[in-house]
Amino acid sequence: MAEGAAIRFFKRNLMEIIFLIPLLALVGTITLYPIARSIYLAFLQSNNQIGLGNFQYVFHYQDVTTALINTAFIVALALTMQFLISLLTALLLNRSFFGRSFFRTVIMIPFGVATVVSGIMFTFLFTPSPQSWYLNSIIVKLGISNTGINWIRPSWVAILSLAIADSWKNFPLIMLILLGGLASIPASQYESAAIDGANFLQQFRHITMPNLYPFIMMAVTIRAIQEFNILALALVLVGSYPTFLGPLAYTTFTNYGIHDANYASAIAMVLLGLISLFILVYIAISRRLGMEV
Amino acid sequence: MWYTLLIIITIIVLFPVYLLFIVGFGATHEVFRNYPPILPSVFSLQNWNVAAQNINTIIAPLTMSTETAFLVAFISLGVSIPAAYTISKLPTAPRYGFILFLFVTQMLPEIQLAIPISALVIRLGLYQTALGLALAQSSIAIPMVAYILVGTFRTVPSNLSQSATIDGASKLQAFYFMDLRLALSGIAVAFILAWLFSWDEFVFAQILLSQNPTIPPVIYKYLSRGVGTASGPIGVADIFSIILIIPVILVTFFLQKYLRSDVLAGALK
Repeated sequence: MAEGAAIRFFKRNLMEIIFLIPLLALVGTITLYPIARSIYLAFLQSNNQIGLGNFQYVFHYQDVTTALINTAFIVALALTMQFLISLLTALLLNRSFFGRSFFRTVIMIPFGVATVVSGIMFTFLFTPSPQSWYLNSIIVKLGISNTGINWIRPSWVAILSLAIADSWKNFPLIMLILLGGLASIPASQYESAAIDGANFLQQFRHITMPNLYPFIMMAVTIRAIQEFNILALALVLVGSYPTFLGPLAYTTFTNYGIHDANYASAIAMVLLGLISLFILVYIAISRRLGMEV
Repeated sequence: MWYTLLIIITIIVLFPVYLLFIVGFGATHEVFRNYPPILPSVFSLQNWNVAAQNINTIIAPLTMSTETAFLVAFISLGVSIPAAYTISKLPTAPRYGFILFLFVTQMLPEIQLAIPISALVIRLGLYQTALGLALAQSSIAIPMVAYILVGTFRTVPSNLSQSATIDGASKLQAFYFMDLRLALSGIAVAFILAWLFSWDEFVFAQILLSQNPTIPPVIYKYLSRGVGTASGPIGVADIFSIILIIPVILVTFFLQKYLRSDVLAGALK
């Protein structure tokens, strides 16, 4: 009897089922409920009806379109930047040489630096006025320019500066994952390739990269989602101009007007849409490339 | 050539940290002016004196940050350890299902969670408390912790606890005396990561604790007050930053030995 089987299954796995309950209860309360609530808020108009009014409002009165473009731009730029530097660093650190663990340890430092603090460090580097700070010191000293460069205007320069700061802070995480991936490749694969006369680039293309794909997928997925949510670093380094979806939702919410939570939720929904779109495209592309997701 | 490249990368990594220290130990007239020198000529404790006068503004946030970080670590490990144990025993398909579920909750914008969570925390009467902030931060910490712990329990050999059960131990005893002990290093890693996440977290802290903030919002406050002024607030923000990062960097040195690929990838194997 199916009912009896269900009871037997329940009895036999009682401990396992009880073990799951606290997690499910807490995730339900502090994640699933807020998500549902936030979607509801985003569509709840100020006249208490469900509709797209909040979206119309934020697209009209706040520069959501620019924030959307800026967000997509910083994700593409910062991820490319930090992926390339991580891959390079991981390849360099994967050899065995004197002082390897020293370099490995020092390069991990940004991972331990709080985001707000990294924002301060790069403020010292990039601030153009009224005191032109350290990056301009270097530029003037080297004679590249007499006056230094404005690193936070216009907005595309600010996004570039922000991408550099963000990459500094976050590349060690990707590097760590890739380093783990490199360590998992059996040396025998390289040995047989070397016997067959494959050069470094051929080995890289046909052994290193295919073996790294799952690790790259994991690192890029984790980092991309964090990158779409960029908030604290942007707030510290460039303030609210140029703006991104995260900071825009945040500043809208903290205005503490009566209907601000709804407008902020609408902006956050736009961000969620952008992230979902990214994930769908990402899955489609990796399917086409024949990688497993 | 590659050795040179590695040294260049190391210098780039260290340079911003170096800036934090030369500003912190620099003299106002040398640091806070146009084109300050990269190699400071004056060593000064000016900023430390100003920070010491503001010491009360850092003691309370330091306590708050510490308290919240421990709460986040305990809450997220408390619910994740048993659940991860169960999930790690599941066959591949439902296990992937659970991990995907946890990832999807991580996919959401933090700010999207923050808005309703702050309303929830207020309704629970936990506004302006460490526990309220810790609950909010756990929404982000739990998926990360659970993922690492599933990976950890998968690397624990199951034949040991199986033979213990055959020898008459209950499943709970086998879990408590065998698997839990064997997974201890992974649990430590998860604990430290949850702790560090909370220590670093800014958005929830900024929204939920306006009266008793943790350190990151305090630093932000000093910095945004100080840009463009002669020294004061930025100097203080700098000193607080140094105080904030030193323990964390030390922990990271320790942690990276244990943060290995088999732990990171184990949940998917």
